[in-house]
Amino acid sequence: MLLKKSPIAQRRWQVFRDNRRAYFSLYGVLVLMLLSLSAPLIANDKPLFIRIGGESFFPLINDYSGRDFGFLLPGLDYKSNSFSRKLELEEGWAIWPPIRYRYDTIDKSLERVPSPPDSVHLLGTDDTGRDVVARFLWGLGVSFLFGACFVTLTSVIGITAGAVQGYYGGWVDLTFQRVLEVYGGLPSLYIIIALVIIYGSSFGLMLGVLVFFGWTGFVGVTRVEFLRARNFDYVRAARALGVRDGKIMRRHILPNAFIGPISSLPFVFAGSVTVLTSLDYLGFGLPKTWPSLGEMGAQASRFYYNWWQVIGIVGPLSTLTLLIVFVGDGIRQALDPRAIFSIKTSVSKT
Amino acid sequence: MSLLAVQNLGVKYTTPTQVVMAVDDLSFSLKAGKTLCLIGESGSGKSTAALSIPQLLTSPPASLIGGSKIQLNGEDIASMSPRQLRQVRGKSVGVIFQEPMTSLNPLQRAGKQISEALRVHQPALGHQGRINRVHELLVQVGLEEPRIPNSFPHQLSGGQRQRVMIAMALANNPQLLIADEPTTALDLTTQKQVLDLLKRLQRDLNLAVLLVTHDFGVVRYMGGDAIVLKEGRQVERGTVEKVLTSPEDAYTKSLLAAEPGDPPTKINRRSELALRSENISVSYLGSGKEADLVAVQPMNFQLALGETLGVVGESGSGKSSLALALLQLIPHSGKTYLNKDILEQLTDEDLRARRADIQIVFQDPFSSLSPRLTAEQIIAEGLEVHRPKLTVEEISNAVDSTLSQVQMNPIDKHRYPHEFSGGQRQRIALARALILEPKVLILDEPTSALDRAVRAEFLQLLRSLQRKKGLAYIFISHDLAVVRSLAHHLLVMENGHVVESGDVRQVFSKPQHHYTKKLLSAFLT
Repeated sequence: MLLKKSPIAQRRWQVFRDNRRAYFSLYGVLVLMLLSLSAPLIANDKPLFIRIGGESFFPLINDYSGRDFGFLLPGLDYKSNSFSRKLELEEGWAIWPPIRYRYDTIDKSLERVPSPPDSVHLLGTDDTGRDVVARFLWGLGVSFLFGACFVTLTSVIGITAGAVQGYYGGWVDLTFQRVLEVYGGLPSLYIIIALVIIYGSSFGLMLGVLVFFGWTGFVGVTRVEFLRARNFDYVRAARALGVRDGKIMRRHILPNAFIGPISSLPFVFAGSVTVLTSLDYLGFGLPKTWPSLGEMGAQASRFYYNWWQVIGIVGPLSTLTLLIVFVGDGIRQALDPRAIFSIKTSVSKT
Repeated sequence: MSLLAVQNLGVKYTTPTQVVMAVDDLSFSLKAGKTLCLIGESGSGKSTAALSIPQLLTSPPASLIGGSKIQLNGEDIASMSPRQLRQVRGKSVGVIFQEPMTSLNPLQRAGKQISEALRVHQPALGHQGRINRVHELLVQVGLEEPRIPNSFPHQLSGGQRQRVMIAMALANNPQLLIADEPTTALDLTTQKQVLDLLKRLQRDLNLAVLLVTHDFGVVRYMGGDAIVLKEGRQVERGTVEKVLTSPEDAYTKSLLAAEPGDPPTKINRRSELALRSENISVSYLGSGKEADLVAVQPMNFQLALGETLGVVGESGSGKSSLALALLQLIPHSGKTYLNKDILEQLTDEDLRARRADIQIVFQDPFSSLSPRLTAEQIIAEGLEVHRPKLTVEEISNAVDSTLSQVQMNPIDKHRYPHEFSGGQRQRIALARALILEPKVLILDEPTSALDRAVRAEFLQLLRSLQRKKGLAYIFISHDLAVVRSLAHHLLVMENGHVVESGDVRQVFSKPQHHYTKKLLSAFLT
């Protein structure tokens, strides 16, 4: 919506940019997003590229077996001594990611775990010898992915439901409102725990269950806008022209009703990341094999005297949510009609 | 010595993109007991000039320019501290605004709102003293009913709210009363009562009144001196009588000439019937124990092609409900015949197809166009529904020719509604309806949000379109001057009832019903 070059959108973008905190936070979020989504290139236990015996290998893309490199057994560990000796002997070379550990790579060379930071593990390791930096990068990636899926699904469902409810009003609205009230009374935490116990945890189940309980958040803001707009003259005029209801909602009301839901998006996003982390923390979140911020949090609370583990989770999580909230605040301000038409000084005050 | 002396007043608005001079080099003075009218179209700076006296403009964006002098009783307001200003506001200067619904706090009872001004400026009065004074003020403005002080604004009528506003403004015996379009939001009969009240108070309290208005009827009624403003500058000044009867400036002349005076189009006695309504009535369901509200009592009328039916009545009389019922946009009972079809009995699909024949133009040109669509998208929408087989180019051509019909330049069709003036927006709304070539066009107060000159042009356009296309109009208005210049037949509505109907000239010259008589006598021009 901000990309459209209408004068209003331009003005909004300018208000957003004038809010320095929000503007720099947006960059911060983008950097974090880039870092976490490229975690496989930054923290991995495989080289990005290997050149050996005149042949090129891309271990990130293809799965190679030991035989591809002339070993007797199919098992292959790029970090083993035998592999590096082979590279040396055949004058091959490899490009490694900056961190040579994946979220689940266990560093067996350590004498005791959790180990404090050193030149190899910048933020030390956890109690099974896994690199903290690698884990939070991958974990952040999962959180971003989850947040994005969650926000997309809940907003589509919630906005549609709110639109229908507000546009038709009357009995549709009343009935739906009562249903939502009952719905809101469901004990979501216990249902999640029960489902995880029955079906076992997975990304899809988590997303499904949280969306199932989360979409109602968008209904209210959308519903009021539609309830208001259905009596606007231009909506009446469109009905008098014979335009179909669906099209009236999409074309005439939605663009103006977007402001409420849009400005709540960042907050919903940050909220969903926090909820996922808390469920993980309790052990009812993502599968144990996934890189998970919640699991890191659980470790941090167990080993609270290991500062690297505490920082490794509190740092990225609080930075991310804080930045997103700042961005959200900026968006909310930029979409506020009063801010658009007032001048600079009054914008930066709030 | 005069009470108020304003010299070289200049006010500018600073926006991120530009600086606008809203008032430029304006000087005037006002003595106690006298009236000064600031007259102008919207955007002429008349309200800005008046509100800059008690420094009520929001700053930024508004700011006084250097050299502006505002003296009240010889004291310079422009250089006062905020503390001193609060003494002036509400005490020496009282202000009445246009819209009494939004200028009263909806969550507080009327009596409390009046006593608030007393609490601030006369703390010595005490609780009982304030109650007595509020009662005295309400009697003064003609609100004797004991329920008034305990009523919330929504429980009062528009006229009562405006009287409460006046009582608030008068609470601390001001010397100067600034009335910013005090009657624009009111019905005709209420308008006259409020103006009478202002005149009486002015005489009794020796008030100086600064009246801001666009309505020459109001100016003529109030008298005194007048200043005509255009784009922030004074173009003419003198006594009201002189300005109205022998204006010297060309702009003033054009404003006065813009009074709708032309007669309606000639009608063809044998033209075919366009629309007939049979026992149309509208009622809104009451909530809980409230009785249902009957907005329109069962009524019958018919309308031939090329003719205009004027529907006149005050706000709340059911005019707009009637329009929405005829368009089949709200639940109602009765039958609407459009040609041979009874609209109420058609299926949804058939009704959708027949909608092209009956279209509407709404009152407020700012709310009747989708703000996010271009003029072309707005106008083309009906064609996309009713003639889906047209190519993009054909639609574009149709939009161009319709825009020319409403006397607009097709080049502007890619612009958004906020880039057009009120009159242009109303033409776009008209084009949106006309592109479907309807037989019946319902015009719901289409000119009441427009300035005089623009209104006259718009009426001229409506007349010529009716002549060329043989359109049947249903023209809803509270403005009798406009109705007289456009309508052939008239329906007068009061509280949902048709109290009088017939030929327009006959109703105007020999009104039968007392309500029609009252309406005509309150007609100021």
